[in-house]
Amino acid sequence: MAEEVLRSDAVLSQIDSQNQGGKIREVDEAKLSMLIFQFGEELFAFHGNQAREILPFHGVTWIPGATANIPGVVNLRGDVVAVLDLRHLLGLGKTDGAAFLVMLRLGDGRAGVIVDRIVDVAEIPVSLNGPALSTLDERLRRFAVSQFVYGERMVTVLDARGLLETVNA
Amino acid sequence: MRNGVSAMKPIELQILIFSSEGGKYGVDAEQIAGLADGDSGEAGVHFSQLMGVAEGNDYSRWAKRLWIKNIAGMAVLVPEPDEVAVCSTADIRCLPTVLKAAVRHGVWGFWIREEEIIILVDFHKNEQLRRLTGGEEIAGNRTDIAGGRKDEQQS
Repeated sequence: MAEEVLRSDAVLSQIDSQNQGGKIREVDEAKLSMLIFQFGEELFAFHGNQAREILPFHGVTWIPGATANIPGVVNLRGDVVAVLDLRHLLGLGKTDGAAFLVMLRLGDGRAGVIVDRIVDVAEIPVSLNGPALSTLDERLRRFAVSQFVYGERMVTVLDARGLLETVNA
Repeated sequence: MRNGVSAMKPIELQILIFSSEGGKYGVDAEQIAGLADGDSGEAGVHFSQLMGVAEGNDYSRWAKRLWIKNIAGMAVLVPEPDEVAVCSTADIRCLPTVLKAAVRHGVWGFWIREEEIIILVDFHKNEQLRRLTGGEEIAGNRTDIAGGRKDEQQS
């Protein structure tokens, strides 16, 4: 009788084991760096390895042939970089206060993206970054690579390469 | 090498600069056959029209007629030029690939002068001007981004 493990101890042991396991996962799990930004009430993100720089937005230089998706260029430390109006590209309407320019870099390609507000640069556990919901608006889904929950809000991760390829087409 | 400018020794270009619709534009002076007051009766096309700029009907600002070498019978109406300035080809930047639509308007690069972006225009590459002047291939004095110009006489 004395050899028997008390049921309560077994439960506590199990809970402790689960907690230990959780802690281990927390330490070991790979994380993704995400630049989270906002358009109106919606949150989006780029992978940190694609979003290389954040600058204050002071407007663009219009050039002939510019489109609603590419309103112009900026001078970035002596280089000329095309600027994408992501709101227009995603069908989110006109900006009500663009404040930042996120510089994207993909291989040799580079472009600036106008955003309303930078929310955070966060490390997201890989397990929290899931496929984009099938209910996502079609205009967003074509550029959405994944989604994750940040706070209590859903963040849509955008495919920077796809965006650049679309405006390049 | 930076943004496509070749490692060739930079040369200097004389650039005629004028302002239109909030932007600054530059034309290689080598391309210009003549510049005169805009009241001549000869055929002309407004620069804003060639650039696709939404322009009002106040053409009084279009003070000058610009004749381009190898483009006969059609002048380009431009505002009073700001200046003629010397530009090193080392300070010229290529068009980002996503802006290839600008090439149709003759935009071939940017001159970064201090913080300012000057849009460089080659009228020989402007599709509308080519259509207006008969659409034939225009020879001579082509501007080459890689380091100056190459005079390619086309047959």
